[in-house]
Amino acid sequence: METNPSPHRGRPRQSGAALIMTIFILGVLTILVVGFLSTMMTERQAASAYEESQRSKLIAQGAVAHAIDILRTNIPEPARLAEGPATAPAENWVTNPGRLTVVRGNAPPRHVPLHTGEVTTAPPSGLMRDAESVDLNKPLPGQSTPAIVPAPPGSTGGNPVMRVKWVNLLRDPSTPASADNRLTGRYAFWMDDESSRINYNLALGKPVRTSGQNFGDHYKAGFVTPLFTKGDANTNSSNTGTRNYALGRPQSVNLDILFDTPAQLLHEKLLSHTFLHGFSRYPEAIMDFINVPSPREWYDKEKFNLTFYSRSPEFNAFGRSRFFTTYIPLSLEAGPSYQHPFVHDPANAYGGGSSQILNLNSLLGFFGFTAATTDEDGEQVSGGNVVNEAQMKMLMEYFARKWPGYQHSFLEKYGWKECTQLALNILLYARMATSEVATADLTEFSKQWGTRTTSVSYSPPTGELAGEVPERLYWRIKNPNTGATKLFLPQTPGPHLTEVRLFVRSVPADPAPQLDAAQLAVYTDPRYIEYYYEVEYYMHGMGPIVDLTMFPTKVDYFKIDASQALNSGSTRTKVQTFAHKNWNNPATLGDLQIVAADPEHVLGPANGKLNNSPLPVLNRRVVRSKVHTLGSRAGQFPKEDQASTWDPFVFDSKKGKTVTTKINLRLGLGGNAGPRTRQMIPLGLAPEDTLSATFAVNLKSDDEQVVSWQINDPRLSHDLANWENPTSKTGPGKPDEIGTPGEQNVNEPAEDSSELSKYRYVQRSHDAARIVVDGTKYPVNRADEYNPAGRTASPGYWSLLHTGMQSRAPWRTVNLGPASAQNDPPDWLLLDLFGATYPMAHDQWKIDATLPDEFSTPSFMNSTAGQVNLNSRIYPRTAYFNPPERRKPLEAVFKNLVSDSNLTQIVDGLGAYQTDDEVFDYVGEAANAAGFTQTGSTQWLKETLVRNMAGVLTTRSNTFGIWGVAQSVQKLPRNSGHDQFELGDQVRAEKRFYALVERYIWPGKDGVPGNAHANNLGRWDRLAKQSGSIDATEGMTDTLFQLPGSPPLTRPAATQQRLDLDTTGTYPKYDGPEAVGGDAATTAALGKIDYESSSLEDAYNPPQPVIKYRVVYFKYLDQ
Amino acid sequence: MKPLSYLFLAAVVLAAGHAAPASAEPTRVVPLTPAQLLAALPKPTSGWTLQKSQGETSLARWVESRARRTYVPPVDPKTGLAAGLVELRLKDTGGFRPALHAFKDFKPEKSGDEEKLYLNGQPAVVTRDSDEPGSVQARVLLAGRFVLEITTTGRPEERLEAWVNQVDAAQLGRLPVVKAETLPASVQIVHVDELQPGRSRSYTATTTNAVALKKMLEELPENKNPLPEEEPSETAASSPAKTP
Repeated sequence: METNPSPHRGRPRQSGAALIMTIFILGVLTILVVGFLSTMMTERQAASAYEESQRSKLIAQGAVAHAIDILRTNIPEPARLAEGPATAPAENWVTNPGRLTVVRGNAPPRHVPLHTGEVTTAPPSGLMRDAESVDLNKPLPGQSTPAIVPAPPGSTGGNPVMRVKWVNLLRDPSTPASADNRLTGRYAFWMDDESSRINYNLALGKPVRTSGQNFGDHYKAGFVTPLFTKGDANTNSSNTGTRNYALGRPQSVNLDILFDTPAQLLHEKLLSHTFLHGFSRYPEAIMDFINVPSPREWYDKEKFNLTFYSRSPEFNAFGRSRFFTTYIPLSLEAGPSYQHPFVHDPANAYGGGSSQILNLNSLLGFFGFTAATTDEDGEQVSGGNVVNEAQMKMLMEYFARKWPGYQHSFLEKYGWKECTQLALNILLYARMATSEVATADLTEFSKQWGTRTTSVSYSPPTGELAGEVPERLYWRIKNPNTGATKLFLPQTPGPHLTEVRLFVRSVPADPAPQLDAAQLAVYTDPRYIEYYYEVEYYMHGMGPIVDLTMFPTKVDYFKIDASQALNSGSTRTKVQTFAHKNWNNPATLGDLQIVAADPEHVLGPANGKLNNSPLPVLNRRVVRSKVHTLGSRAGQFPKEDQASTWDPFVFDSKKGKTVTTKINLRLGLGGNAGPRTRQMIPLGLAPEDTLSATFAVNLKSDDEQVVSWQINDPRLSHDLANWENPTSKTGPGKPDEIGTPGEQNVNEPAEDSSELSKYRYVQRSHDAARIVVDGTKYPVNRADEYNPAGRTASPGYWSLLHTGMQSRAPWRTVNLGPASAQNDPPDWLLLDLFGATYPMAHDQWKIDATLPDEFSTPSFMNSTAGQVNLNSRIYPRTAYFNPPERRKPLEAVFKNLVSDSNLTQIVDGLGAYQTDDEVFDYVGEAANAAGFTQTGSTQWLKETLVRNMAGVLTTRSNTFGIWGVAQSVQKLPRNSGHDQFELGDQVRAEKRFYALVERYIWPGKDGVPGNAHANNLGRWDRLAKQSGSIDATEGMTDTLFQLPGSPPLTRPAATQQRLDLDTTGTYPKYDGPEAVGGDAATTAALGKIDYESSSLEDAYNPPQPVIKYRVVYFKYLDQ
Repeated sequence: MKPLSYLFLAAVVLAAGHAAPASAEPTRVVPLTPAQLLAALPKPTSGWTLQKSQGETSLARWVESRARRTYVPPVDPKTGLAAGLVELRLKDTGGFRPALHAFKDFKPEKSGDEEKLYLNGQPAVVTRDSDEPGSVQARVLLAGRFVLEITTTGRPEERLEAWVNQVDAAQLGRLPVVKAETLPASVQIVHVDELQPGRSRSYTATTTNAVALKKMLEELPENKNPLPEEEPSETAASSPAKTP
């Protein structure tokens, strides 16, 4: 039978489909599961990688913290407020790339590695090289360029190796390694010294010295200082064109040394950018200012020599603020700090009533000279005088100290007299570096020059030697050993007196006494004795051109003793003495003064010219006094204009042919504008402190006899022996045979001699004054410290200070030569006292253009940017750490000052001087390096390099570049070296980094210098309290008075751009745990001090310098 | 009138004429230069030699220029020595009265070792030094302001007039001069040495301005109100920064 076809004939196939479906579904599920699992695994790996990356970043941050801790732990802190110059610890420190050296007293130096450990040997057999150390210089993954420094050109040894040891990190570093506390990470770093690199934000570079151009001619002529020009019309906000820079500023460093040709550096673009926008803030920014085929390639090649941020500290070896020369306490935002220059005064010697007095004594210069205050007796006293006293005290305390590393003090080297003199010289030099003088009119300039150059003379209170001029203006210093008082005057710039000639003769008695011929009836041949004197004025090289009428010669003591041996055997004698207290007394000594008759007679340096005037400028001028006649009345000059006053003493030649005439004379160079003294011949009070000469006057002849006194170095004028010795004094004789008026003195070196080469000062002059160099006339005057062309471009210029005034050592100045040629301590240690003063320029003051801060101010809060460290030797020095020697930054310092071959020798010498045991402790020590002292016929030329470039040299740094690597590590479980990296252990993540760390002075908890409190409107509200408002909308007035770091300022006249210190104002309030205040004199001179006690942590404006560290820049190299 | 009387009258007139320039107040002038004076001194005659020939300027109450020549006579063949020497000094007093004091109220007379007389018609004061026999000094007034000093040592006195004759006083008096009531502000101080030119030198000496000195002393603060002294404000004198 046929079955009915079933509609389900395929059922068996239907069952297979289900299977297929099942398998399909299972397959899909499997794929999904596998996919999910795969995704999860990737996610897990990513999360793990991220975790490890973060872990390595944390390790990197820990590495930076470790580096900072090394610095903080080992670099000596600044002195405490209570530690004055006499007691502050003698702790010097210097930095090299990779090493810190600390010198305490005469103890052996202590070297502190600035890295995680040097590698000196190959690893033990079986131990991986990278298990114990790492090469910081190896290229980053995927790159071929070394991370830090490439091989030098021509090198065949491959890339330099910079291998340092790892620091292994346990999971819990506080407990010993164990199976439960194993290695989890590691890091390594090496600290470079950013100050041993070229700071491209500042290193504009000085030009080649070319004859006929500013820099070349200025340098050749010995300008103080030479100027060079940079920039173009875009450089500054007022589009006034190029800018002048004084040699010695950080701008003197030649960045262009890193290029094949100087033109590859776009100087103008770089300058205009930094001027208008502040410094660039990352390393690679320099590539915007170069013109080379491959900027990146150039950068990689030179990056080891470059930095964008370098600063070095302005504290001396005793941890105290260096001295800044400045007209007024500068804004903390715009220049060196006024915040820290305190002097400890436990004896309350200055009357401030506080154990720490704010005397602002680290600010040398103008202070206080226009202020009067009341002294302890209730008498009026010059504020500047009291400030000077305090500063002398501080300087003398320094001179009594032994600089770290040296066996003797300056007090031991020079004695108290020379040290006292040196302290005075420092004060006057600072005064000249900071004072303002009217320059538009020669006579007014000369008048003010006379005043300013003598204002460091002692200014006594009323009643002290009342009326005695010039005696009351001498510094009367007690010999610390004997208690005897010795007189001092500071070293002053010219003009000076260099020769005195005294003339005596007899003349016919005409007109007759009392204009009455009958008075002569008793004489057969009546004769008078006449006398007069002349002086030779001299102006040293680079001195100003002055109107001599502003510099009268004054007589402080005069005695004439005339004795005629009569034919009868007896004698006839007349003595007249002029010793009035006041040498300006019109009736007596005043009449002996010399005032150059012709106001148009100008005195100036040998190559000086008045630009648009035919008047001759001579460096020597001879001026004669009036003629006086021996009189009959005590202390009165016979005056011919009236019968009653014309009473000469009469001798009769018939009764004796000869009158022995002895004259004692003490004279000095005073000022027209007041009683002050710039030179005394000699300095003394007693009748024997005088020039003395005896003449045999022939009563039968009208011929004059003359005695000449000459001096070689007029700065030694105070010492009678320098005038009265056999080679200085000649005569009596005929005028044409005695003395050298108007000419070089007998014992005086030639104008171009080595001795005279350092007889110069800070350049100031009348506007029209010029110095002629090879036929080209150059302006002489130098701008103030608020100008890049300003006066104190380099602390090396302090080498012009005299060191032999009290030792009868003419021409001896601060010696910048090798220590081997000097007694311990070498003079150049003194440079350690002086800081570089590079405040913001006048035309950068407009804060609406850019807010000034440490990025645009070379010198800021006791720290200066752009200085280059002499200590260029790189540590560690092993076969496994061999970067090329870093030469170019030091070459950049001296480039164009010497020939290129000499440049090589100099840098070779500086390198060779440095050994594992020898560093440059002080900038002046560079003179000890072979080839550093320049060849030349004069001391001036020999000291060229330190003098000009001390301002851009340092021996230590505030900025450190940390090159490091951090790894997160996982131990292989079976490895047993729990605190070691072993074979099989895994590096789970690595971060390589570069961090720039700055050691800086903490400005208070607000992070801003001054008392930076803001009100609810966001404006500073605890500024200095000024006596009046200042309109900041006009001109280029200093607008910094609106910032919290500004001292109280005032604008005396609407047209005056430069603000003056408001001495009636109050500084922003100080706080912190250590009280400060102001003594009466300082307050009168510099303004009031306000203080409020607080903890240090809560202080807004602490006077105590507190060092902190901050990371200025940080970069992971692989990002 | 007898001829003798005419002669006497003439002598009186002549004497009066000679005395007049000395007694009247001379006009002050800026003296001639030492070089001009040297040119007026005689050159050595045959056989004589110049030992010194120098000029100089002197500045005291007034300016004075001087020239000096020392003449050495020929060597005496008998003794082999020069017979003394003669020094001529010519001074231009510039008309400064005290410098001409010796010729004030001049009249011939003799007093001690000093004698006033006319040499070659010029007023002269001759001094014979009793301490030094054979030494004679004659001061002769020329052209009213020049003084010629003749000092002879070991020479016959009668030759004084011959020396005076050799100086052309009239020519000196005709040289142009500058009148001056007061001292010039500056004076070129000159030393000329004709025989040793390398020793010649000069410099400018500025004189003291007595008027300015008096004014300055009167105005000095310490002569009015001695203390205290304050320095004038610097800022009043300051000027904006300049870029030299």
